[in-house]
Amino acid sequence: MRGTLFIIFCFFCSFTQAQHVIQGQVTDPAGKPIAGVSVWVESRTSMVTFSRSKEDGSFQIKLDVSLDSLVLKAKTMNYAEYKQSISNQSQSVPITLQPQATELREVVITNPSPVRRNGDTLSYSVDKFATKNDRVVADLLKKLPGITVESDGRILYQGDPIQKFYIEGMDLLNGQYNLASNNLPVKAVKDIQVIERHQPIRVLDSLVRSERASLNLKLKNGVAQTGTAKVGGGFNPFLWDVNVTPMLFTQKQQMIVSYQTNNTGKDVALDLKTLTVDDFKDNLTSLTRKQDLVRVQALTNPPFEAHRYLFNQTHLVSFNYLFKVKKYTELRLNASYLNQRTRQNGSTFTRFYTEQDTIQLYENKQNRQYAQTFEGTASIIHNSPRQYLENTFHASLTSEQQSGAIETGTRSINQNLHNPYYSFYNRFKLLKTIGRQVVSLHSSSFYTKTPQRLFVHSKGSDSTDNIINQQVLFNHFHTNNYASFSKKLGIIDLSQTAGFLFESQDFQSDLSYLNPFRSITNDSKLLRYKYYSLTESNFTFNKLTIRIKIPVSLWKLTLTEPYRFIAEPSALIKYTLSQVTDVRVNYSVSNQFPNLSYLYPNRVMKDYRTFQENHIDYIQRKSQIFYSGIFHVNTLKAVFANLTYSFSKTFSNVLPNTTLSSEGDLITIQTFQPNQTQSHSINGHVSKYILSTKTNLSLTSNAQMSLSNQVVNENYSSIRNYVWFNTLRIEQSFGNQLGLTYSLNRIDQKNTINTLNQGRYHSNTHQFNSYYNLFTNHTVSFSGEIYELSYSTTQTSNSFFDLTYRYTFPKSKFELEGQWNNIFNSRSYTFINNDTYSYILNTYQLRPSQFLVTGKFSF
Amino acid sequence: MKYQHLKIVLYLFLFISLVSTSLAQVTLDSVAVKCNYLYTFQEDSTNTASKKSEMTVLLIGKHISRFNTLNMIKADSVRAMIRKERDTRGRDYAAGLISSIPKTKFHFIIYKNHPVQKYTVSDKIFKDTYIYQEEIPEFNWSIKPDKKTVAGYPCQKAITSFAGRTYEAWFTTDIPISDGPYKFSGLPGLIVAIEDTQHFFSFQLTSLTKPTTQEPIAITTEKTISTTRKEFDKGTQHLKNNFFDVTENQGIKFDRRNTSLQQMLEKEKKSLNNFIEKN
Repeated sequence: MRGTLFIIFCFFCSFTQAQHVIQGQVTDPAGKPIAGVSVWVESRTSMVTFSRSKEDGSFQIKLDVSLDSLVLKAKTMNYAEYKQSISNQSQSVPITLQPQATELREVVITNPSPVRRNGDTLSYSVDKFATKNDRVVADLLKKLPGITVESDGRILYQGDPIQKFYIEGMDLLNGQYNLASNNLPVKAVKDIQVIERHQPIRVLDSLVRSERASLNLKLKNGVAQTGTAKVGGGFNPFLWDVNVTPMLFTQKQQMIVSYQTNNTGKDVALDLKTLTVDDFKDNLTSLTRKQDLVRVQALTNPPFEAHRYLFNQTHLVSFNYLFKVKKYTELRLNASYLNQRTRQNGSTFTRFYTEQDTIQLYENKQNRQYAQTFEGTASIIHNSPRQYLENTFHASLTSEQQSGAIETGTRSINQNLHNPYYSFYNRFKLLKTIGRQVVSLHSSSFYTKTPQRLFVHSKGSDSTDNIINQQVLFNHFHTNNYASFSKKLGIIDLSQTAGFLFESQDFQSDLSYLNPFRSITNDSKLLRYKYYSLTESNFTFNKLTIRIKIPVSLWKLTLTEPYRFIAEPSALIKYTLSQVTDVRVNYSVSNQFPNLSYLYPNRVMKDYRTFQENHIDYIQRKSQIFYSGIFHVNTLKAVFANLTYSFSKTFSNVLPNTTLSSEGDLITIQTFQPNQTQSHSINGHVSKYILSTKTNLSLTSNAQMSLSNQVVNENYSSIRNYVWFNTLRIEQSFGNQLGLTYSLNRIDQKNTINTLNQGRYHSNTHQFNSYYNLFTNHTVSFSGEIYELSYSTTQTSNSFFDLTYRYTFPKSKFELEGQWNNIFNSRSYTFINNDTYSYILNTYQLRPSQFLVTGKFSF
Repeated sequence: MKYQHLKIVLYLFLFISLVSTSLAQVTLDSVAVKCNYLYTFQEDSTNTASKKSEMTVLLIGKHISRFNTLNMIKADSVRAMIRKERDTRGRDYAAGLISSIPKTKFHFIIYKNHPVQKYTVSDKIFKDTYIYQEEIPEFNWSIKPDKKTVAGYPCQKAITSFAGRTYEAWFTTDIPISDGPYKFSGLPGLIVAIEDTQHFFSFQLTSLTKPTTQEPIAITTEKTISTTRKEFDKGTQHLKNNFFDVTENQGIKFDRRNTSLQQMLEKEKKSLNNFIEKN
């Protein structure tokens, strides 16, 4: 050992003449070597060089010859420090350390965070973060550490969506906070506060820990009135886009009013979007969504963003008001009025096929719509530490008129539609603690009224007039009440809900033909009761997860029917095969009982060439769905693959009997005839990322086969539908400046009616998208779609391009933006959609090339 | 002594082959000193406003140390609490608590195995935990004469370069432990503060305490996939460039036509350009 060290020593001496070497061994008093000891040399009390002792206690330190006043030191945990003055020459120093407990001085320094913190509340001082370029709160939020703002305006704190958006501690906008964040000027705000562990429901404060954050804006003293405005103009035709949003904030009350108008194809709905997630789910919004019982023959909207095809004139007024009644009680009113005129022009070519022959129908459509919608929500919220009580009343009133002109070549049809809709709902929620359990009580009720009228005047080529008038009225009352709680029993998580539902429905209609005059009417009523219980349980053993839901209910579907017992069990099994692979199997049963607007016995005209009647008491659809899949994710190898198979079977007690006339008129009669439909679907997906070229490739393939029955022109037939979708997608980026995406969708489709082939349909859709960042503030994006389709002998090809150039002038207080859309002025777009007995080729008129300049400022 | 090392070395090599055993945790060492460092990092090198910070913890044992963010540990304990809550108050309650799990930007745990001069790093890509080993590099610390008191300890300056950046460290021989935050070690005393010369990344000691009760330094062996540093970096790159596919495979669907979402991701990708290890 010493020999080796000596050789090393000589080696270093010959190598670096200007260095001396100190070497030795560190041992304890018993002579046992100590490893990992820090050994260093200080010159004039400052460390100059160091080493650590090896496994055998040996150490070696190289020393610059010019140094003087040297002290050799050695130290490690649980031994006393060694200290020895040495001369500057190569030498061997044995070090013996004496055992001694090391006193470590503990330190604790309080948080040196630059942002003020008070308990769970973080305050960002606006003056420190804001610059001249920040106009509204959203501009500032984007810059605050820990806060992110998504493209739709949703605010995230530490990656999580915020729970509530408060202004001075009050939740004025109930989640529709874009109105405030995009319009409240920065100069009115003093602090932006993040309440980190915020439990908005005070009853749960001590019981349920929350890590979700909420945002609160503290306004500057004396700020009572503020707001912003935006004015944009352009061509062609004359375009406008205006937004004026004044606001008022006082101790007791808050108000935000907004007026927005445009004819640029912009959908204003985003400003009214609810961005927070409600804790309690109920489907009142979807249950009370507007339903049209009669309609104007419509054009299907193209599958891309509205600003490319929406011809509109929109006015929106939004009014939001909050009043603090008491310390824990608030009254809130959110109201909006939307006035919108839209038009759609285009044509459809429909090909119907039956067993005997194929019927073709060409329709040139010009539709106009004028709708006014008023929506109002009034809430009273009592949120005290003892209980949480919320009652919300919502009213939505729509007055709508549509007109449509159709030319088929042999007929010209004028349609006039009045399709207003009224809906009201009330939601009640009470939360109380009983012991350590929280029991919740929910009650929701709605009433909807659908009085609609369709007037059709058609003229044949032989100048025969035909006038038909259809009136319908549908009233629906629904109430659903339940209580729920959850508990753990052994290894099973159990949750129990019990409740009852009551519905009253009433349907009236009158179909009148003018020459000769005759009238067909309906008048039916329906009362329905449902008592239900839902038990959910969840087990997890090791790699296996089983989730079982058992909803049971007693339904009284009509007054004459007896109570029927319905169980709709479902189960999910998940098993982890390996780190990268898992298997899922799911089975569920569900029942649907469509409402009275699907049960009228006598004829109703749905649109100018679609009629329906129902010769049944009720409709029951019982579905069974089986789903299984294997999923493989290997992040390291950049390979993703999955394969799924699903099978569904639906039993229905009714079958539609359709009569198709040579002019394309459809008369559907729903009759009692038990039948079933089946479908199989296999889906596969593989993707691979190639790191060396930064290319992402993915391939998706889906094959579907469905079997159903239909009766068309009194021929009972079974239909098989085969569809095969394939998608290839390539993404390629070249640095940060340029990006390209290309995808190819291929659809192959075949229909057989009683094994008789109805022809094949193929379509190829090429889509590409590219963007180019010229400099800061300049962006060019270019995208396009090319459609190729063939059906039997028909072949079409259609292309569509969109070029956008955006420039933002960075100016203080005032911001200017220029935008040019659809530079190539593509005027129409063609695509296909289909159902079981028809293919429809749609041609849709698009917005022309347009240029828009927008200026924004605050007041 | 040697057997002790062997046992640790054995453990560190062994658990890699023990993937998916029921054994949840292996105790490697026990905590002698516990240090908290405030980690400040700038995610976008072009934007000083993108500076963020997180609290980190260094647990030092006799032979092995463990370094990770504080929220990572907190998240573990909240998860344990949630399991307990589920037992007492039921599933719905526990489900509500899931959002209360503390968030961290960093899911790494760095174990420094001093006897064999190796790091064992466990880290996440999306939801999978990977584990790999790396050599502890020769830091070649250059000791400078500058001295100052940092966090109450008399410190001296030392300079090194690591993974493409130059760092200035302040260490104290008052704590004769050759360790430090992140992957830094090799000085004759504890690193109290360290920052790169471009001021993008810094660690500052905020507390040093000795545990009053026995605390283990443990490693989780359950549900981890063993790999190499190279493969892991490739996987991280892949997630960055292929976010849609990775998430869609986890059952989250996106509308790929949504260009604003693509642009947002692109922007986010651009603003996340500064990593502590350049190479």
